[in-house]
Amino acid sequence: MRKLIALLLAVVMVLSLAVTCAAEEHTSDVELTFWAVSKWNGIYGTEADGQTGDWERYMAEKFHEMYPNVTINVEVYDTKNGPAVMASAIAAETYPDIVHDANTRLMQYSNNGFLVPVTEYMTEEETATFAAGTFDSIRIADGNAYFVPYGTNVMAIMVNKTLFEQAGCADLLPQGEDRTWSFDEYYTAVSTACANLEGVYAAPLFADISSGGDMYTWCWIYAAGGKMFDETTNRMGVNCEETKTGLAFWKKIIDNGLAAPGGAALKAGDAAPLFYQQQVISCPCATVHYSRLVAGQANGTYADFDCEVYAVPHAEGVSTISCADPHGFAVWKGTDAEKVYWAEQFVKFLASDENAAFIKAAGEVSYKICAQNLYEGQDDNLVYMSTLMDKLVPSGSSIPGYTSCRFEVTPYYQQLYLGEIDIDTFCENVEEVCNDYLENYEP
Amino acid sequence: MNRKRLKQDMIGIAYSLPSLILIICFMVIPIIMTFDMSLHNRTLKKDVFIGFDNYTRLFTKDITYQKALTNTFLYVLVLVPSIVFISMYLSSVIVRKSQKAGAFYRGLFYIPTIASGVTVSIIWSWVFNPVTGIANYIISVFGGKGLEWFSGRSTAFMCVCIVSFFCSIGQPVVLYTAALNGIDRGYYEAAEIDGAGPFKQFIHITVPGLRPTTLYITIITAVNAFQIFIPIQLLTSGGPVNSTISMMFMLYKTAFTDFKFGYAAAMGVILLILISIFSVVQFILQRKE
Repeated sequence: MRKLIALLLAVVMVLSLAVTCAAEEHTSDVELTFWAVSKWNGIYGTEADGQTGDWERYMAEKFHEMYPNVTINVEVYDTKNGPAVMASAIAAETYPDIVHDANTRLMQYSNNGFLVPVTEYMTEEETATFAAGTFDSIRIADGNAYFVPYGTNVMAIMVNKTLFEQAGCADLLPQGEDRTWSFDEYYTAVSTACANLEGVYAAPLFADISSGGDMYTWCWIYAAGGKMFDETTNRMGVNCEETKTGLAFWKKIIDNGLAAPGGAALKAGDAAPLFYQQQVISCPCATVHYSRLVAGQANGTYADFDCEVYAVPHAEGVSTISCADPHGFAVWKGTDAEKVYWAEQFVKFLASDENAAFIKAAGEVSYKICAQNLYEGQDDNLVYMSTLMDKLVPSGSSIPGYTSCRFEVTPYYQQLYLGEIDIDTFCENVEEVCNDYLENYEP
Repeated sequence: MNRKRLKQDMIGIAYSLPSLILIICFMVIPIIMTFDMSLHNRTLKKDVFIGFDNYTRLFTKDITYQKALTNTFLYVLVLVPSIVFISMYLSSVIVRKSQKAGAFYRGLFYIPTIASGVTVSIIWSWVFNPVTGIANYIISVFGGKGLEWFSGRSTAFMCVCIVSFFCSIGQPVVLYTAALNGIDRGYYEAAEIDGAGPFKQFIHITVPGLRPTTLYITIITAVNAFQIFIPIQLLTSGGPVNSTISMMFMLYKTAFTDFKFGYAAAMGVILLILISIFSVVQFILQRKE
């Protein structure tokens, strides 16, 4: 009897060990869901019949070839309806295993505790393959980063050089290799050009930041040495002299009739098309806006004019700045350890060195060290924009409540734009209202 | 006799049961759940019962919501009478046309109704674009100065109303045209013999003849106006300075941008109550008449 019990125990132990080993080897069949805000059509972005989600599906297939036990279902969702779909999915607990989205929404999910910290699946060696400071820039208050950045839009100013030449003042544009200019130099250049051209405005400044695009407005503030958010305290830090200097310059362009009409209600997404249609001579832009222009000119959608990219103008004594708008991959916290494991592996695979260059399809800049010179010898403007990666200012997106706080700020921007309040009142109101909002914000 | 009656009742109930089940599942239960949610501080992360705090906050502290409430009533006040009267007038014109022309105009006015609201709004955003839009081009042809349509508080409100008007006019025109065809021509002939002019004919024959249709159109238009959302979302985002914000837009933003589901549910319950009150009042007034 004893022998029999001992034998049974031994069998149980062996079986347990076998099961444990099998689990550690992660060989069981797993089906994952990958929700992605697709950034480009096709796999390489050059296919004539490319569709959104092609790249994501291609990557899922490649991963399945490597690990046949893992099947990944790709679902593409757009930025307009995506948040509502995700909110419903969270409420119904039908969220995906992997998500690819913009930093603002990923930060929201991070602050709500829905994502797996990057440190749980990436070693220091692996994070070291990203540009310095990449993960520091996306850490939230608990000190963790919750997504792996894949690409970003670096901010600069697009200038229609052809129109400047027609206006006879191309010599007023920055001539140095660093492509920088001061507020005064920028103002002189655009006002001279607009005076010599009919029906062309200096820039499409806008005040409707409720649906995003804040950095195109904030860039003037940061370029004056000011700030919007104090990230050390998670509060608004707008009420300072430097911020007021930046806003005063922004307002000077508007008040002197140099900004394109309708800016109080203009959205970020509607600003760049004014530049493509040559209605404005310069335009605060992200890398992707420039890339869209190049693509549009190549396929005949836009007129073939010469576009140069320069740094955002800055106040005297302030260094050149840029802002970035990263997007990346995150692993959703789940109860199935096996699924979480494979989701982590898939995110590492997507963000690996071998797959970094795919970001060229979106005309964006990569965070990977191995892909820092993606556009070398192909496009000087994109090469220049890549160099702005080390001049990034904080965007405030890691602050809990930041995304919804934008809606509180917008009316004040619009009042300032329309001249209903002055800059001092703007700064006081924004700081008071937003800090009240952020203090009472509940994830 | 009773048995026969019971059998008839059972057959009636059996026929209406599928619809009843659907209404209970997709209307009644969600309404009850929404009311329950409105009594909670429900976000992505937590769900705490707070009684009527959401309602108290909406009416005492939330200035933006109060603005949205006022704007929504303004939308209803502007859109309902204009849609009812203009569609009635257009139908009375269409009904006098030949059958082919009438069908053509009905189809023409119905196109915006079947077209996606998103598409229609985007087309209107091009029309009102202050730099490249056709509206300002037409003004400039007549020597006028272009307007910054979406930047001014009153012009932005007007633009939202115009877009919503054109999206909503199709169905009333079709309904009124059908109703007008149902009015006996003999009444008009008799009125003409008695010396009544077109205006008196319209007031004393057409308007009473269209009363049931008008009631239906008023309620449907009011319900749609209370829930105005797409043109605001796509054209103005509620701006400038919240001058076009509506209850529905704020509800959406609160639920899906701020993830404050409990608070948004309270907004939804208030909207439901308002629409119900409006509809009931309409029915009572109509019955009294």
